[in-house]
Amino acid sequence: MIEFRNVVKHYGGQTAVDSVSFSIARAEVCVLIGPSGCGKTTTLKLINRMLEPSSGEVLLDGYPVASFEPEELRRGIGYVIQSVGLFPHMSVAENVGIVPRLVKWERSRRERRTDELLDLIGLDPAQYRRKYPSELSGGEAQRVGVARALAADPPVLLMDEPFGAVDPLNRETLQLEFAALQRKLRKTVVFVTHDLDEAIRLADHVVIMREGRILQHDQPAQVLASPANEFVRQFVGVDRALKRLACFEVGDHMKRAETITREESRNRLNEPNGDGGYHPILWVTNRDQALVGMLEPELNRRSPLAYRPYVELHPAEVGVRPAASLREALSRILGQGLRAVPVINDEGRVLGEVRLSDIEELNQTGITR
Amino acid sequence: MIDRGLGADLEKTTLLGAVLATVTLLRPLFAFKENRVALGEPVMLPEAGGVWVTGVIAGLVLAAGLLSFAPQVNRVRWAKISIGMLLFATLVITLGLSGSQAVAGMEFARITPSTGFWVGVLASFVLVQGSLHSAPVSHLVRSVVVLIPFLIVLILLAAGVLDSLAPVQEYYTRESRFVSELGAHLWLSGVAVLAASMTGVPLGILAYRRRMAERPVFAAVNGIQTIPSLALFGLMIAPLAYLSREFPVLRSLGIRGIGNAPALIALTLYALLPVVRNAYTSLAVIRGSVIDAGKGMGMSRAQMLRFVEVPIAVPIILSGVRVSTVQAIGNTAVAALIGAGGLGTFVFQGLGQGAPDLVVMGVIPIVLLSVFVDRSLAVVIRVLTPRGLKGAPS
Repeated sequence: MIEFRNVVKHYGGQTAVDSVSFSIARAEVCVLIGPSGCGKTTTLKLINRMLEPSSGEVLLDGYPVASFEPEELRRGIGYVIQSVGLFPHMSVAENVGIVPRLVKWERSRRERRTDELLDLIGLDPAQYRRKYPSELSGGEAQRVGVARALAADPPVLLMDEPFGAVDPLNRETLQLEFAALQRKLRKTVVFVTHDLDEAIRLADHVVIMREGRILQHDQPAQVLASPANEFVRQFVGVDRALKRLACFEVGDHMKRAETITREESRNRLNEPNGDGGYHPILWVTNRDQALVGMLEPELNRRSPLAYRPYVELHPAEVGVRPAASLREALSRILGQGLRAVPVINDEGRVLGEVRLSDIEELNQTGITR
Repeated sequence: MIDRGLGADLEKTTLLGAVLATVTLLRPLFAFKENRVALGEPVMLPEAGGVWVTGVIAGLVLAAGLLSFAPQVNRVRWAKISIGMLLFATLVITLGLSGSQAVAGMEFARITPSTGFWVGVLASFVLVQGSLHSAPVSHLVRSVVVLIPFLIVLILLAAGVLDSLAPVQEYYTRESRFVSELGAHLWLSGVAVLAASMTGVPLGILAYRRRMAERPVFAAVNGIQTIPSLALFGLMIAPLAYLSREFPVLRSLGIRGIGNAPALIALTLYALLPVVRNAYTSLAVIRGSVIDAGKGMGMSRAQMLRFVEVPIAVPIILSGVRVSTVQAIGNTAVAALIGAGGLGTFVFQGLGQGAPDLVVMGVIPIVLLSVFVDRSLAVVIRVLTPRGLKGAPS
């Protein structure tokens, strides 16, 4: 969808982008990351011709971007910037509807689209349509910025540290919302950030840049598992093993869980320990098959019984959702002091379990020292 | 429990108004003159208005004094505003009625308001404004309240109640001259502001766009502003007289050392600073990120101007024009000195003839004109300001 061919950009006497070549596939999120001054924003701006390359070319859908009129090109590419840049004199609806207005949609279609987008980003149109940017919180303004970029339904979205100016708590919410949105919309997204966690959370591919060059271009898990060089290793940090867990979803790594009813659990309580072999955690469910408690295996080999007494559980505290990351699962496991945590759905039903041993195993495969 | 004590809620502005208002009881209300140049005989309030009016005014002063110790709640606020209005109305009506009585039957007799009257008017202004500015009311209500005193004066003028006042008499003897000088005044300040806007807006934009131009442009317009207006008018005479002598073309266009041409040039130069400064600011307030976003969304240069720059900048530029118009109306009064005409003519005539009433007759329309133009432009600007940019009322 987007291809860089030996692109060089000189800025004053310096080389901001130094013969960069890479490509971004349709419907993927490609995150450009690196320390400030590494050329990531410059690279981004070469795509919609906010900047022109000194040499080399950028292709969009196989055509050089230089072959389009800049304005024409930009109207087909959504653009979100860190400082949002909402027009202060326009209402939320006017801001969102500006690109459709530039490309001359009729008013009724524009209004429909605006409301649709506000719904999409989780702001009630009736309440927000007439508000002005000065009346919005940072997070709301940023959502409107995203809606504005999506207004004319462009296939490509450029995002330059879009959540950089938002406080950490809201930033995470915005990231998760954006990830969910992207699963629906399947845009080709080029995303610039200096926040590694953000990159891991959102990226299909990560491009790590330094001094205008690409150091590594790979899937996030791969970058964390085997950094290409010392700089990348330092950049991703000593806790890269932990960060890498954020790349995996619980749903892909859960195992079958053993569930029993409350009545059955009474019988199992008398089960002899035998030779002290492996016993799984027994998740106890009620009539609706929702998690209510558990029987935890006895770890003391000399104990005559296999299981400890029944423990009541709060599903929300113990269980993880299939869409959660293994990092979150690990955090639950450590927090609860268990060998595994149940995977539950919205109704509290047990879908499976994530085991500490599996996480350890996953961690050992792939990670290079 | 904290003992709040007397004076915890003291409203200093109201107290000031009350103290000022006592002056109306202690100093002459007006001076009676048998003719234009006669020395005036002072007339005190009790003599002019009698026991009842004096009692009413004393009561109002006392009420204002007591209310300055009351907490500033809404009811108290409106009480103070009413006191101020009543004070003003009583003073003006008393002045007019007792003045008419005093001059009855005498052809050249007139009265001039004195300290007691003027300080009383000031006191009512302090009482009304001191409470109105913090009152939680809309622009409309505020404007209507402010208009009431003007309406009172207009009605009294139209009814002939104020005919005995010296400035009014001065007006009647110069009615046609007054109209033509008012026209000249409007023309001079209008043309000057127009010229200043046409040069000042591009200068401000230039100063913003070109780093090199910023310092010299502001040094120049600031520098002009520091020259006293009298001196600037004077400075125009020599070079223009020279040019007019050397180039007959200019002379035939009416350009001479004195008259309209030097006045217009000086007035225009004075009017530049607010226009240039606001044109510069209007662009400076448009944040880089907004321009960046517009460009990134595919706005052309013309669309950027139409959708972003003009809507944000125009109200700010107009605010500059507003300030410079008010300034120009004041400065035009001085232009009469170099023969350009305008309402200043009466002011300088009055000064020359030792006739303060003539000065007052010239000054009051200038003040009213300034206030009127200022408020009207404020309304225009408020209408043009996009809702998202509306902050504190201007």
